[in-house]
Amino acid sequence: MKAKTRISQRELFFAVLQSMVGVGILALPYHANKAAGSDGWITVLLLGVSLQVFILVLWLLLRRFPNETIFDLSVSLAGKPIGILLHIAYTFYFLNIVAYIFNITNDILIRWILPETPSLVLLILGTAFFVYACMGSLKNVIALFSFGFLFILILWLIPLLTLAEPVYDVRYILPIASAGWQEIVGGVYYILPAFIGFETMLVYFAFVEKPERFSSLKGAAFALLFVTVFYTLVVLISMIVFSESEMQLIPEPVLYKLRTITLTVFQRWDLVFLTLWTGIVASSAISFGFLGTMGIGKLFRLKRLPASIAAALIVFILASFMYLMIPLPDLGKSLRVISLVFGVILPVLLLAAAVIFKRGGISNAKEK
Amino acid sequence: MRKKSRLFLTLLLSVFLLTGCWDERLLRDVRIVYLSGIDLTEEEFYEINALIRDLNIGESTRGERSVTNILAGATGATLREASLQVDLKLAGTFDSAKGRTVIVGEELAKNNIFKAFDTSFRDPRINISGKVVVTDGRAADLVKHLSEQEPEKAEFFSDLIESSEDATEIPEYNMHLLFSSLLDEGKDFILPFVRVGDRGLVKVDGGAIFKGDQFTGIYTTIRENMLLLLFRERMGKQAVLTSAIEHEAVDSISYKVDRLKTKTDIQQNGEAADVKLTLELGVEVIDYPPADLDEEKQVKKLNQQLSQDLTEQAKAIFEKLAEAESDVLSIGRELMAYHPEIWETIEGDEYYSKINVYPEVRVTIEGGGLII
Repeated sequence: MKAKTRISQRELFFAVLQSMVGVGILALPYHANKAAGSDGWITVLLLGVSLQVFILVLWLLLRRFPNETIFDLSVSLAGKPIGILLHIAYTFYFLNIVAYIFNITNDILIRWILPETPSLVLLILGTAFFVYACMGSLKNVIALFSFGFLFILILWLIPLLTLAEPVYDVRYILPIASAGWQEIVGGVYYILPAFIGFETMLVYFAFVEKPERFSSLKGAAFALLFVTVFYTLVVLISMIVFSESEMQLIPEPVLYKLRTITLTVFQRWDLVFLTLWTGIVASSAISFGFLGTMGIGKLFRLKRLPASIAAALIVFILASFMYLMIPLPDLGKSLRVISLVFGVILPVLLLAAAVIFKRGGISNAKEK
Repeated sequence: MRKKSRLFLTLLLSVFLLTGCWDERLLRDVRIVYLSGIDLTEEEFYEINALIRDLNIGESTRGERSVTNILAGATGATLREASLQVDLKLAGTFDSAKGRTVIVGEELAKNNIFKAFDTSFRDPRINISGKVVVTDGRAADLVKHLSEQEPEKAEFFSDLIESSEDATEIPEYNMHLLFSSLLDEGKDFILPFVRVGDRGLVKVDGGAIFKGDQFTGIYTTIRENMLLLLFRERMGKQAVLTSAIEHEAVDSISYKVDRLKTKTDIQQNGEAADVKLTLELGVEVIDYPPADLDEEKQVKKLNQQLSQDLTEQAKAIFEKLAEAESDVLSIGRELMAYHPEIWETIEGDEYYSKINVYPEVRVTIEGGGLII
């Protein structure tokens, strides 16, 4: 089954960007600090650059199977039983990420603004919203993403407010690279979950025009660049505002700092930030949810509405299970493993298999 | 039929959009705290005394509002327990979201100030931009005094502190900055010191020097605070200094700081570090009756006298800080950032005793207002 809708490079940019910027951003400075101390921002930069190289690997894989999403591609590469297994695994992975996003968002909203609202209500609200957002077409979803870009731009400006008061101390990040390169590089694995979303390219890329051209990678590369700069900036700001030992106690440094800023009209900038942030989290949940819905739809040959309802049910069950059974730190740990497996290891294995067994390939495509 | 069931479904789902209702807080149900004082009792219990604004909006008053101030206090093993005890004594919920100032009693300050404030950092509703000040004796007495003497009470107090901050008399400090300094191993701090002065007037009277999370018992004067703040490049809206001079017509001069520049030069000296601090001030004369500033010789003479005066004062302050072993200028942080090899040799709880500070102030008169 070949994809028929086409998206432009700009649309690819919005799709990948919205999938990447999400729940991870609040806790990223905390995790970066935990991984490499005051040099955590180098780790973030390093991960951004290495992912920039890694999307080349994804492209090498995807260009062999033009117009095929990871769901179609795994079947045409690995044959029926294994391919379908991979198809199910990726569907499950995308929905799992949505459930994870729901859980983290619940946790943060309940701790910061809604201490007395039952978690279940937020979850049901999220699920209902999920059905509505995921039953649209790819064009609908991407239109939403390009609108949501506005939120990201505003969100980018708010951390700069923290520099309004002269209470930051550049000396906190000096001397640079004092943690040792081993820790800085080792920290990359630790903060990988904040960058998940780049692997949505495995699906979105199938809709790109002329995938065999190198320039078709532009959208994804710019999205990654944007996220890398954004994240590095946020981490850097957090690190000059808070000392290393202080950061160890504050899981959401940006919010925490915004709480202390009082400008004439607002006393609690953290609430403004959280409001925008919820919108951005919603779009990354929609992105993953849409892909999961697509996976289910393709597997059972369902129309969009029933597929999105099925996906929403799975997400609801997964999220409730996580909420009831798995404590948040463990959830974070498992996410690290899962995102490494589905984002990095599996695509590399698939590429290796494609090269070894000479499946796909541009020459094939041209002959057709 | 289909339309109706759709409408019903939409209405049902929109119920979940009303999540805010769980967390609503009505102004008429809360008792807003503007000012509170915390003490440590002899039994190591925390005592909290709060000035609470009671907003009466009731049916009986037909929408008319009236404001009264209530003084309420209680003790508890933790500060949170103490405030819950206060809550029990009030008609509504004790809400410290708008707290502007917290007064800390001397005993508590000497014990461990971090423990007392821990609860404030955990609750997102507490305003951690609230000011923190230290008083001699018990904070409870000061709160009581304020509630009896001052008509505007809490507002008066926070305005008092803000105007002192603007005049560079006390460091601009709040709970959040307190938290930062407490957790930074290379930094200590001075909290504003407030007491009841002559004729029962409440006044800001310098600062209380802290080492780590404990008050050392040593106070600074307002003049000393000012000079220290200039060394830290933390000038408020303005800084006015007065120095004694040798002159046939007058014996003192007032001037305000226009620009300032600091330089830190650190050298290793065996097991210790020698720190040379230079503060360059460009000042504008604001009170100096003998009109002889048009003579270059006189200006030079004054520059020299002022520099000498301020340098001597600076030396006295740094002796005081050395006695308190308090690293108010965050030299420890400076060492960590720029001279990690020196930091390694002196690192430890007592590192400030291994730092010798040699301050120098250079004053240049650069103007005189409207006249020369």
